[in-house]
Amino acid sequence: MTVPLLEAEGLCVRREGFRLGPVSLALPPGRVCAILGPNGAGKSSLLLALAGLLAASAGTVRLEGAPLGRLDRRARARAIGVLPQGGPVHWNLSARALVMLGRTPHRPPFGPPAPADAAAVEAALAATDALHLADRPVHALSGGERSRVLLARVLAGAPRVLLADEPLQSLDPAHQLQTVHLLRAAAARGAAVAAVVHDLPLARRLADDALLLKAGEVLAQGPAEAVLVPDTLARGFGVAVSPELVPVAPAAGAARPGE
Amino acid sequence: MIRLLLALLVAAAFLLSLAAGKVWIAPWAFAAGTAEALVLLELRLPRALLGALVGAVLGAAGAVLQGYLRNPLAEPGVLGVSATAALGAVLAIFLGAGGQPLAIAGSAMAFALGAVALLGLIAGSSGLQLVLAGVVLANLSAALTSLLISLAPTPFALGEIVTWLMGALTDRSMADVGLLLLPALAAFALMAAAARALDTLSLGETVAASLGTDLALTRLLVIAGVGLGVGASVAVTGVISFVGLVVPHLLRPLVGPEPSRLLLPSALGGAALLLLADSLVRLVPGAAELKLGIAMALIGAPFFLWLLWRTRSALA
Repeated sequence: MTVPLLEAEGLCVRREGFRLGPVSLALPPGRVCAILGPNGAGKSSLLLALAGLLAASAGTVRLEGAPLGRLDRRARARAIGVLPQGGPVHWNLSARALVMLGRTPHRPPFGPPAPADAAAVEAALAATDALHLADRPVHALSGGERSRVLLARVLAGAPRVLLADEPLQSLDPAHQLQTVHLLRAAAARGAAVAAVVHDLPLARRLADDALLLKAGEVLAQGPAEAVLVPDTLARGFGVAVSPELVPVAPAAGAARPGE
Repeated sequence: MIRLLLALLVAAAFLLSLAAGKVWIAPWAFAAGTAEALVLLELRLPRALLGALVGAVLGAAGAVLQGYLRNPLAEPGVLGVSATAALGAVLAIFLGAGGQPLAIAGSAMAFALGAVALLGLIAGSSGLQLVLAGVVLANLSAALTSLLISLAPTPFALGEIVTWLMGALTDRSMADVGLLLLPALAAFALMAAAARALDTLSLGETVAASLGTDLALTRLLVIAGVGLGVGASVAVTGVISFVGLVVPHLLRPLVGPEPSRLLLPSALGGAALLLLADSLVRLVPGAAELKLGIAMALIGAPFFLWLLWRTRSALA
């Protein structure tokens, strides 16, 4: 087992009327971890705490062995990319200007973008099939187009750890598969990826590992093929899960691009 | 390109402000020791410099506040800094400092800084709390100002208070310019330091923090920059509204919506707008000069309503 890029130990988050953890989780390079669970289970809170954006009441998160709290903000921002759920876009930026914001931790505080920044932005737009949207104002985009541009924003920062909250939401099936492909490709380039996913078959396609949360507690975690089984999922979600939804040998195994 | 045009516009408006008045004077007539040179150097030059500085501060402060609060309706007035600074000036006049501009300005600036410090203590890390605290502060200051007006000891003091509140650039000296210069430059530096962080805030506070933005530091830079700049401006010229609201709106379609791209053009645009408006009020016929603060509201309000009507679908 490779040394994890991001590692949480006994991580707890406490907020009014809500308790998460303790969660211990290791995200090694090259692997994708799916975070699953019913609404309100604490998936988004876990993701934010892993990113160091939500204060932990107990436990630690380490990036390459160093506690997150001791890292310089910009260094942390270069290392960990975060895609929150349905993020707001307050000004009507062009898609390209929005994606350029993902380069912020790489840029000095003043001055125009460097050629490397512009190149990273174009590459991220191309990867998410959004190059033709580059000059469109974001508020004129459809929900799915917007999701792709927001994903491009994270990819443009070339983070070593990628934390995505429901990246497949509001995408059509083709672009869902494309996003799965992109997250797997990021892992193939050596990134550690964790993503909150609701769609069980897609989770099976996406993930090497899985973590199942229920009411703030870890119900199961481990290799995806061990966690994403009908019995465990039925306990987690409180509904019967048909075996066809989570095939034992993933039908998509061969279709996992980027591997 | 837009910046260059705006800079040329500021230069032209500056020359116009030197030349315009009941008596037109060529801006280059200051060479000889004539009466014209005296008017130009002693009256119109400080007035034009103050107009440019105050306009630039108000325009930039508007762009920064709209960016920070992610609300196109924000302007320096919403933080209550202008109202509190006005209260400080009115208190000074009330206590008999009517004839001493430096005492009035000093009191206004002290109150503005007090307001800023209070905002920094009360408001949490979120922009919404800051606006709520600002609204409370503005209302409290307005009420106390009204109280002082109603208690004014003499009709003379009353007249002086009301005149000052209307906001004007008349009868200002180079001493006023000196008073404003340092706080204004510090305000520009603080606001410029926050610009890149404001860009990331357009994706919300979570993403901004994930991109390395220090939210607490950004709030501090915004409060200190806007408070210092606007406080000093109000201290010297009285309350002048609408510049911070209208200028960023006008320029956003031309330079793009990112706060960092909007900052310098808004400063230039604010300077040009205030210089033009101040030249205009001198040209309106009549014995008494129209007050700049009133003129800005008369120009700004209908214009802004028209802007709202035109963009109502985009804002909804």
